[in-house]
Order: sequence, then C-alpha cells, then structure tokens
Amino acid sequence: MATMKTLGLAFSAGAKCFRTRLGLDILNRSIPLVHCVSVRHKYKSSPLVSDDPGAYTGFEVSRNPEEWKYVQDLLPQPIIKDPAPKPEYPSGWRPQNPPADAPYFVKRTANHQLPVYMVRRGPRGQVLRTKVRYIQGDIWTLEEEIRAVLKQVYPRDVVQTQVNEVAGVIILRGDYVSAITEYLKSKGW
Amino acid sequence: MASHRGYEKALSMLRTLPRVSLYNVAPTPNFVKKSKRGRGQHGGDTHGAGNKGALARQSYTRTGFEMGNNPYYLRFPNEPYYIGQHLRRQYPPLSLGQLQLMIDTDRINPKKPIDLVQICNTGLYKINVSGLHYGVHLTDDGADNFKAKVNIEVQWASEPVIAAIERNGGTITTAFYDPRCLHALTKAKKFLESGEPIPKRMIPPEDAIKAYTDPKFRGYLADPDKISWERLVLAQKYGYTLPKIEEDPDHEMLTARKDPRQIFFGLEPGWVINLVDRIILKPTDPELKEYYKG
Repeated sequence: MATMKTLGLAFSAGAKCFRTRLGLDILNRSIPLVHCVSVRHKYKSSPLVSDDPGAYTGFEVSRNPEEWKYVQDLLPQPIIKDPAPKPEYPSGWRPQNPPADAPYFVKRTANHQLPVYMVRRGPRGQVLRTKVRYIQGDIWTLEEEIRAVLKQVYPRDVVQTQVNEVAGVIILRGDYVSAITEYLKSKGW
Repeated sequence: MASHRGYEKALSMLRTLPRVSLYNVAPTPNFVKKSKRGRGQHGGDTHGAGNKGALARQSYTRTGFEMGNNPYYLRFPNEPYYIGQHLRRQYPPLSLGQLQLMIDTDRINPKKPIDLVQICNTGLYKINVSGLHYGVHLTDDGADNFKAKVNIEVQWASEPVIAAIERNGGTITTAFYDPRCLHALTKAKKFLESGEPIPKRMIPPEDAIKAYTDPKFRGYLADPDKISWERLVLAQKYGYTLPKIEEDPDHEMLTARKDPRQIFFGLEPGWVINLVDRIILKPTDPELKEYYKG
C-alpha cells in the first residue's frame, strides 16, 4: 500500500514537475520526438575553408612531371608483384622451381616465402610447434619425407606429427623450422 | 481494472516522454538536499570516520609507513639504469639480411635512394611513432651476404654495417627525424592524401646532436669532406678497397642527399601535394618561405 501511495504521489507531482521543466503538456501528448538541445560545436565542426580570399596566402601551381616523379616514388606498390628473375640471390631466397613429378604441391605465401612457421602455445609460450601450411595434393607423402629428413638431422628426437588433410596443414611438435625450410628449398619448393 | 488502466497510462506516458538524459534527469519530487552536516547530537555522530583509534581521531601515519615493517618503497634497491627508460628513443632493428631479402624479392628498388619511406612502404617493417620509435636501426646480421649497392638513409647504424655497405660501393647516411616528420614518412600515402603541407625537419635533440654531426657515424649534419676521409679510414680498418663512387655510373643516385630541413627526396617543405589533380602547390608568401627555409 505504501508503494502504491508513493507511486501515486510521484505520478501527480512528477507530471507537474515535467510540465514545468519542459514547458509542454504531457497528457496532451504534444512533446516532440526530437528534443531540441543546443549542439556544442567542437573544433572539428568548424569550417576549414573560408570564403574570404584574404584569409589565404599566395601559392603557385606546378605541373612539372620531373617533380611528380618524386611524388610517385613515395607511393607504395598496390600489389606484391612476382620478383623479376636475377642472376644471383645473395639472401639465400630462391624463386619456386618445383619438381615435375611431385605428388604434392607447397604453395608460397603472398610474400613469396615458404609457409613454414613456428607457433608458440601453452603457458608462457613453452610449447613449440612447427606448422607447414598451403600443402596441396598427397600430404601424406610429404609427411613421410619430413619424418625421414628429421630422423637424419635429429636422430635422437621422437618426431610427432599431426596431419590436417582438409586444411593442408602439417603440425609437428618441436621447433624444426630451419630443417624443414632447408629441405623444401633443396627440393625447389 | 484500476491497475490495468494505470499500466496503460504509464505506457502512454512512456511513449511521449523524451529519452532520459542528463538534461531531463531531476531529483525525486519533494526531495530536499541537506545543505549542512550537523555536529554532535544534530546528526554528526562520528562524521564518517568510524569508532575509536587513529582513524576516529584522524591521526594517520605517514604515507607508506607499515607499522615497523621495512616499508615497501624502501624494500628493494633502486635500479638507476632504468631511470628515464620509458622516455628514451627507440630504434626497431632491421638487419642487412632482411634488407637483402627485400631487394631480392623486389620489395625495395636499389636503383633509387632508400629511406624510411621505401622501407615502410614494403609493409614488412613497421614502427610505432607514438611509442617513441624514431626510425630504423640497421643491424649487421647477414652482413657477410650483403651484396647490394645502395644509397641508404637510416636512423642508426653500427660500424660493421657502414663497412658492409661501403664495401659494395654504396653509401649510407644516418639522419634524424622528429615525430611529426616520422608520421609523414612512415605513412607517406596517407600523409599525401591528407593534403597537409610537407613539414620541415626539426634539428635533433641535444643528446643526439653529437651522433648526427659525427663523420664516423655518417651523420647527416657532418662535414662531407670529413665523411669521405672516414670512408677511407674504415676501408683500411676492415681491409677492403673502397670502390670509387666518382667513377660509378650511378654516381648521381649514390650521392643524392636530403637537405637537413627536407623530409622527402626532391620535394621541399611547405609544398602541398594534390594527388587527385596531380599538381603541386608551392607557397609564394615570403614569410612562409622564410619559415620553411630555416
């Protein structure tokens, strides 16, 4: 009962209160939907351009193509192009030259690099995994080859692999990035 | 039925009421705010300070005091070498091996002068200017396999790096850029699209002047004659014959340098680039020209 009483009081006083505050009659439903509040202008909403020509300093317009060459040098390449063939590659990078009879295909990344990565997982990144991506075709043959190579390079290691045939991904437990990269590079991938 | 009608009335009110905002929020009707805090029996009580003890008497111990314990702020010895660590200039590394890889995969054109714009435009190197990154630190990793002949401008380089570049007939300059210029250099396309005038480069801060005027460091403010002397000295120290860049067919490219006030090659500070109409606007006002000159 107390609640009902308070509510009733609040309603009668509240309606009066709103009417005086807003200067509008609620009960006649004449309040506009958009309530007009003056907009505070920020520095960004002030106009940048002035109609007064005296507000500007003078300038000259140059259409010199020699100068425009310097501007074009500042713009980045819109796409990553295929690298032009060169007589030598001192960085050790090679363009892809895959063997003709391979049952699988390893695609290069957009940056023309081999898709072999080291992934850190677990608490404080202590679990190391090697991930080989973009494998098309017979993924199981590549897995066997990688196992054979790692058996030679790291004879004491127990290599554990996980093959995701649908995604074309091989995940190995441990850091074998350099060994696998060297092997794929030697095969021409 | 009465409650039902009340419910409808409330809903109809809600429909017409404006949204609740700071403008129309008001205290509950008949609410009177107490303007004074009484003392003693007139509502004073403990004044919010609780009962008994130091807190009630408001005789607090000094900040950090732990009642006889060795206080936390004195417990560990200070580490003065970290003073100002968060304010120091940072130069994220880029190795010579990475630079050679960028050249081999055509991400950087060695036929043109290389500066921060070209390195950042590859998308393979990023700096965070607001995180106090001031540019590239070229490191000597892969120096033995570095074979490119380049004219490169970096912000920091060590002696073996300078030797590795000059051995191949290239040239290197270390140059300072203030953060405003770095914003323009690291995101050149975005800057040009903004239509702002090209800023002028500020002089280095006091603690960097010594490095950037040092010919051994190939500073951009150093005397060019002293730099050519130091090139010879370094060649003898590392035991290679210095290729003569005067007789090089790319002599013009290799000796291209920016003005100490300039940030882009071939474009002067104060110019406005219009990428849409492909025109350059140059100021003619003498006062503006004077400002951008020095």
